[in-house]
Amino acid sequence: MQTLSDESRRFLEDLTLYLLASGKNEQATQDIVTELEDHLQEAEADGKSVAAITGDSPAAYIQSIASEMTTDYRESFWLLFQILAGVFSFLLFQDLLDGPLSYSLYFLVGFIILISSLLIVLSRCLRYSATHTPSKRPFLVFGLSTGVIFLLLMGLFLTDSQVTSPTIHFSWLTSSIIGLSAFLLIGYSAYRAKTWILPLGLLAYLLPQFFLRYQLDWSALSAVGVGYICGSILMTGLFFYEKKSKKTNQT
Amino acid sequence: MSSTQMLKGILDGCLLALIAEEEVYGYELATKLAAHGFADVSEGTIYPLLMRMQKRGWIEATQRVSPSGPKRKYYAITRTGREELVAFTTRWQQLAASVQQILKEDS
Repeated sequence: MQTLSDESRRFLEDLTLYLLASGKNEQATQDIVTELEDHLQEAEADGKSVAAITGDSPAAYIQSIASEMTTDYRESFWLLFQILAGVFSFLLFQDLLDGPLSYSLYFLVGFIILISSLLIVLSRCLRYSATHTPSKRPFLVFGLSTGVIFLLLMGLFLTDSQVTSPTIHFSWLTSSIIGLSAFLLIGYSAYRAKTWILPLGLLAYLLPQFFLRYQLDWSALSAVGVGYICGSILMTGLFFYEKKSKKTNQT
Repeated sequence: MSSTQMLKGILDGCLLALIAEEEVYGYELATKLAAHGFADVSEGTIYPLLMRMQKRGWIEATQRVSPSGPKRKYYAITRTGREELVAFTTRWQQLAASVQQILKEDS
């Protein structure tokens, strides 16, 4: 089978990105992308360009496809839940290294609101970039919004101990059950998404910390630093490895 | 009004008529449409329409291995689709007759 031109491939990538960021069903997205890929392949073999398929505006065409697809709220909620759980798991396991879990209502609510806001900004950013040519101004707005949310997150961490709100304290047993459930959930999500970046990255982040703190008596801060470096290196390496193997499988 | 705008409203019926002739896949359908004089319509226009017609139950799609190799989505008309095609044909004939009459009176 002949390979597609860069323009067609970019169009299909933009379409996939836009549909998934708009909360469309993953299978339905895959179906239309495969169908259009097939169409583009035949069209290019007949000497036609992407414009012959999408018309003058690929962005308007992408939006017209999206408008005919129903939004899969169940899948969107599941995705949001997985991302929230994924982000929270780093925090949760880090806290487990320090002792039984304990969270204030102020922190939990603030965390869910801020991470959800971050995901909404990210989703809008992805949808925008899929239908517009790159320009500085909108990305500056997105960058600033993301920056503000990160600052608020830092503020949440710093003010948590100073704000009085109901706090839930968990016993060691409950904390261990929560930890185990979180790890199983991450494993299940990774299995569904066919990517092991998050669970392996999490292990690379936690295991060195556990060893350094409890075997070599390192301070918590230095151990976190080492864990952070190990986790980042492994996750970046895995990301490029998975990207490369996906490309090899496609050709 | 451009010819593309005029065509938009009747494309559904034309696609239904082509699908009613035989099962077709996307590219084949776009090529047939162009061969029938709809060359101005960009080929991709058919996909949002096919999605809508599937939702309305006028057509159904099945994945099949095509004679040339890859697995493709083939569209076939349903019983509801045939009923819609009959209704469309009647609407179109009435409209065409009215337009024809006006044009005759003008000339």
